[in-house]
Amino acid sequence: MSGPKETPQGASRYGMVIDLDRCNGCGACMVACAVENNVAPAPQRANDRNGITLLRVFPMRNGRDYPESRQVFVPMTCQQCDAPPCESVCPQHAVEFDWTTGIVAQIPVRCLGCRYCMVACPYHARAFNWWDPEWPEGMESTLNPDISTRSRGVAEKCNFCHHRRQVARERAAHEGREVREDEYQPACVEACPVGAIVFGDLNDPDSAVAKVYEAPDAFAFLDKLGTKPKIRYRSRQEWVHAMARQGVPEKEVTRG
Amino acid sequence: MDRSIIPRGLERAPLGKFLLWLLPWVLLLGFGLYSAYLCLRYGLHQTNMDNRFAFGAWIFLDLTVIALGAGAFFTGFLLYILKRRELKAVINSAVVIGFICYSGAVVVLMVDVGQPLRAWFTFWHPNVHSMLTEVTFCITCYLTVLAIEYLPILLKNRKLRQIPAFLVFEFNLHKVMYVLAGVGTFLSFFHQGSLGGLYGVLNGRPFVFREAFGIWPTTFFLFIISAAAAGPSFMLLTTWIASKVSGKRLVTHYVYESLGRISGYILSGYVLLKTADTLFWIRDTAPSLGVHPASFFANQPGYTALHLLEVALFGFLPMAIFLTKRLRARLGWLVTAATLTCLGIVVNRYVLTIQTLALPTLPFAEVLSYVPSWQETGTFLMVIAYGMLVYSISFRYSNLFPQERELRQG
Amino acid sequence: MKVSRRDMLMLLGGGAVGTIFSPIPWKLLRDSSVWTQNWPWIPVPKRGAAATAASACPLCPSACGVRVRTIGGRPVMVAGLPDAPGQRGALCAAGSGVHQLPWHPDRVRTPLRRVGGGSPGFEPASLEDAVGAIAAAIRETQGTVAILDGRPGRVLGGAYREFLSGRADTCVLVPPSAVRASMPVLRKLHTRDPGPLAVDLDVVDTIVGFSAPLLDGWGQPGLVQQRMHEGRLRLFQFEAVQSRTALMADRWIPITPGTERAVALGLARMLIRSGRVSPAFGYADFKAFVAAYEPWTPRRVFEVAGVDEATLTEVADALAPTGRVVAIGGGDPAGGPLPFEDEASIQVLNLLLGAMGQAVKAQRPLADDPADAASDRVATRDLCDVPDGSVGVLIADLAMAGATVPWPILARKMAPQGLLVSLTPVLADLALHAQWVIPTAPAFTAAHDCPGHPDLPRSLRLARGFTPAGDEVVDPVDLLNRLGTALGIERQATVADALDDMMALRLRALHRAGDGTVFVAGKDPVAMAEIDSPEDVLSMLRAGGCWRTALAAAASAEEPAVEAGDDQTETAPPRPAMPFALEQVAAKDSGGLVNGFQMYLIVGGGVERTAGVARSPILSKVDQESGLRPFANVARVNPATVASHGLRPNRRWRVSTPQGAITMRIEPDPTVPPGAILAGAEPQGALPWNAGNPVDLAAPDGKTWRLLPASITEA
Repeated sequence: MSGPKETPQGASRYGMVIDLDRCNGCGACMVACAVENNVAPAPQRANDRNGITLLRVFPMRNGRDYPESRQVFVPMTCQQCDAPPCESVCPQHAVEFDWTTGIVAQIPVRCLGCRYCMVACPYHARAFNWWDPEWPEGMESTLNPDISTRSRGVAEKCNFCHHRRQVARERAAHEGREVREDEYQPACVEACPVGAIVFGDLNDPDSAVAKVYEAPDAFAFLDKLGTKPKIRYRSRQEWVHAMARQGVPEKEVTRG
Repeated sequence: MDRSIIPRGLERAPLGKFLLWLLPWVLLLGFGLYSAYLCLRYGLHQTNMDNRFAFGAWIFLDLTVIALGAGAFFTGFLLYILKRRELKAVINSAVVIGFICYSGAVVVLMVDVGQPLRAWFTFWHPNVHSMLTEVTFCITCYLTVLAIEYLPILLKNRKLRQIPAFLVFEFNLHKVMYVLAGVGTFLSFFHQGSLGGLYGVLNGRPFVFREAFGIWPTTFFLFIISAAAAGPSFMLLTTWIASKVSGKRLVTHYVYESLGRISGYILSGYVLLKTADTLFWIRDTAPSLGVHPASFFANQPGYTALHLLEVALFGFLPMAIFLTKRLRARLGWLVTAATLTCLGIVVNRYVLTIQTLALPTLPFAEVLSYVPSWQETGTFLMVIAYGMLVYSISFRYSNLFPQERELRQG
Repeated sequence: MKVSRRDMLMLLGGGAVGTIFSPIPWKLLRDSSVWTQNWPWIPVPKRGAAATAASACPLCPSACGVRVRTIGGRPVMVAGLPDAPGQRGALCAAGSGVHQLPWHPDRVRTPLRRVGGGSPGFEPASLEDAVGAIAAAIRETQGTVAILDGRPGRVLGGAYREFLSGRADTCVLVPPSAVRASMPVLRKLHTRDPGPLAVDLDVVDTIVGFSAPLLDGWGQPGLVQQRMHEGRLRLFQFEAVQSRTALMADRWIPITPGTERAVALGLARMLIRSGRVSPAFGYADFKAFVAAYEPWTPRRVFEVAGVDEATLTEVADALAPTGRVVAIGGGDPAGGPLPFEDEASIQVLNLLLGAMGQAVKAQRPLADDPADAASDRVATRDLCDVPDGSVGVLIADLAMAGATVPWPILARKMAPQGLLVSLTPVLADLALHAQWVIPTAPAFTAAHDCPGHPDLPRSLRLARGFTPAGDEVVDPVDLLNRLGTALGIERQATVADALDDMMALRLRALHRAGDGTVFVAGKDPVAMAEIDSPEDVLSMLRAGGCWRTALAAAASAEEPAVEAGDDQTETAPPRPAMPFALEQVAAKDSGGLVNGFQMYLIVGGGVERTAGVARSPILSKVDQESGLRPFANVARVNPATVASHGLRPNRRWRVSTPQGAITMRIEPDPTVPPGAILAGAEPQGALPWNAGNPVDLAAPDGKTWRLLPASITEA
């Protein structure tokens, strides 16, 4: 397992804070994510266990029955760990930790499809291409040219829309200036209708995300695993923190 | 008809009867090949695996057959390195079983990965931190060793011996067999361990994560020991089954007893270490990862029962049988204990593969289960059919059990 | 030369070893890695010049402003337009995939004629055949000729009226709405007819929601949620299901399903008794009014709706008659409107709170609007108010409706040999029942005018066409022109040849009226009166601008509420003692649990699941691939009910209402009240796993279907 190493001078460390008290589970982020990253619509037989949702909104419930039940919607995606368990397990370097951005990147063309990374990831944040991607006839023309499509048999995951950073950097370099914070925002952040997601450079103390990252109501999921995630969540509801600290498995769900 | 290629001094069933015995396995193999073709041609959606159950029946099969196939390396180790001469009676059979298990596992792995054509990337861009890299290198090398070990068994066939070059080659191979056994033992030990390490290093999965000795988690060592315990048991069991199916005495009771005793000793060590490991995990490892160990078993009566079964019924009980001299004298008891030991390893690998993935790590995720699709099951059965065919043919046309001739004459 | 076996073996062995040291295997390996990246069947995204355009999402009446990223002119991404008024940059999941709709797999590409009887089967036909058949049906029918306009307020509506005005016994039909139905109640309580009303969400500081999906489809969810987070809006939500709105509300008060009216009446009584009634509320016979509310004691409210006195008092105490408090019902766009009695009770509450004229204002009519043309000659009627079996020919245009029309209700209105024509870009929902299907332009292929929600201040945006629609698409105006020619109907001068011309007419009318303001992203708002020409308005709207009526100014001039003092002195026309019979508002079983139907089916789904809102297949991320918004084949049931009824989730279950049944999967869900079944509407009937649309389990004679008596049996 690789721990965080010495980061280069002037490097960024991108992170995200998601306010669970704001998210109403509309799913706009999930659609925007799929559109931005050229994820194909579900094949007919796909379901909630084998679909490709690089960002997935899970309901989290307090375990009590109506009307004491409460739920929040947890947008769960790659937590961009500083100590990513998926990176060290990949047998052929298809997962790379970028020390200049802190982004964990999946290189689909180097992926063998062994799925060991998916087993290693405690956030269930990785998806496997069980199918070849297929769009209805003509819909290929809506694909985003900044990112390639993936074939079947490889794993994929969120990379904070890394290609958007490239585009923003190129534009900024062309204009001879630094990238502004609002120029590089992942598609989900842009799509959230209620502004529940804040994204930016954690190394920049003036960034919006750095200001809320250490807020007293912020927490990370599974922080005791030592994965050092760079996505944190916020909620003022105590039961949310309690659930995040320790959850007990629910009943079993079979599908076959 | 095939008299001329059946080893001298051995009696084999008529060819027709033999072919009839092969027929169901050939059909099963055909079905399995078709299933595997579907998975390779159309993609892994032919299986019922999913993003949570990223490993499924196939990985469980791989872990299990490789643990059982450990009989090959361990028997070789005992015979060639520790000089347990009586095991010469089963060494050929052990090599064939090892070859079947390892080659079967590789075949299934090639279907299991999403892009088999990129499998060689692991050799080209190896990530030395990954347990899977270790596994890949070991399995490839050891399969080569097994293939070389398997060769002399084939070459001893009387038709092939007529070719002088083969005879010379075989003779030379015999001279290096000790080296091969040594290398094979090392590779195989390491491979078993890496498979255990595969799970033990997963700090994201508190259910299987184990503290490390050096760079290897305890599961690395537990896998080696459990495979060493189950290997001789599986040899005992397969020899007994071959003997029952062929209706011949293949080895003396002393060989059975010896295999059982070895199994029993190692099993006792394993049960002890496994218990200690579990207790340490309950007391230290799991809580340090922020998980109460009981949470893994809450509302999980089936899995809880499996754990008890693994240690009590499939651990202590066969150990007790193997180590009781009076029971060891009876073949029935030996076979029972061997069966229990093998079941124990099956349960252990099942728990590690399936329960690990069934249990969620996130507080809002559900406990899942899955049932393999028929294509998945078909590919699974393909390996079993393949094993039965290779073993049957090897048994018929080569002298897997050197004692068979003496026992027949005696 | 004799080749020995040994030579042969050496050759083979040497060749094998030699090959390893040749470039061949390495080249093959390298190529294999290239092949596995570039399979010919994996599409490669096309490149092109990147640009950004502002437009509007035409899918539903929320009419959100959108920012469209284009590559070589092709839209590749849609996001909310940050500076837009109203939604403040919010865009729903369906809107995020709107640019993919031209390639919807169920797109209609040619006129279709129904063939066969039972199961829906269609064959391609020519537009001439379609016009001939429809014209013949119009000529021969004894019944009403009607056009079902799912999105009233578009310029197209004017063309529909103009066409229908050339014939007797015609009408424009609109989807059922209880808000509209409750307007007469207000008329009876006022001396003057307030006309269409609108809620000004920018003014409101407190909302009492009665199952209104304020954050999930009604009106402007983005605005409501952002104002809530700014601390400028409080939300009390009375709702049976713990919906997304209920979860996010400042206070969610669970009620027994179907008892919204009881809560509203109980609240009204509390306000009356504590004297917190707006002075603007001046009902002539106030004593009789008060007496009518007297039976709705907290005790009775508790018995009927399950809301205890303390909670009700708490809410009532938080409501001051400042005029900035508004009660909203409305119902789920997919789940259908609230019953009339509920909506009327809610409107009375608004009167008491003094919301009329403050938070709720009269819409200012737009003079000379082509959309209003011929409105005096052609009646607009609620679909539910048309006599059964009376419609001879119905041309249904539900594209972009944002409302639901259950097939049983529509079917009952049709005459026995009636002809149903569907104008639609996608073969789904009611189009599957039509005799003729006419392909119309999907979103983002042609310019659409996007009027805002009818219950909000009047607004207008323009959606641009980015992708050519294709020759097969029929402009509805062109269809009407052809029908007119076939029928020999005299054309009115105001009827344009195409939608574009109609739009120009509307802009001219808007500009002439000089009302409201035009907002363009990144620029200062401009008053309509200060804009030079209609062409300038058009270019501003084309640049993603939004025109919005100046409601606040209109309110003071056209105050609909009547001062109490004035009302006393005025010789008011005789009015009934009560606006509607409160006695009808019975106990909780008023929903009508009939023999054998022991549960309630609650239909939901929000605006994304309404008729006509075609969803891109990429929406599979939120339903099929995550279950975040379950499909119609998922019945969500309270875990306690699952246990008590033995509803095993791994079995298939039939959810039946008196109208029919759908096979569903059970999913335990603690947000659903015990005894209820929550299911999402699913108008896209072509989905392969879709067993049916729960909306189609509505009673044919009903005006509401949000709560249906139901039962579950094993399938």
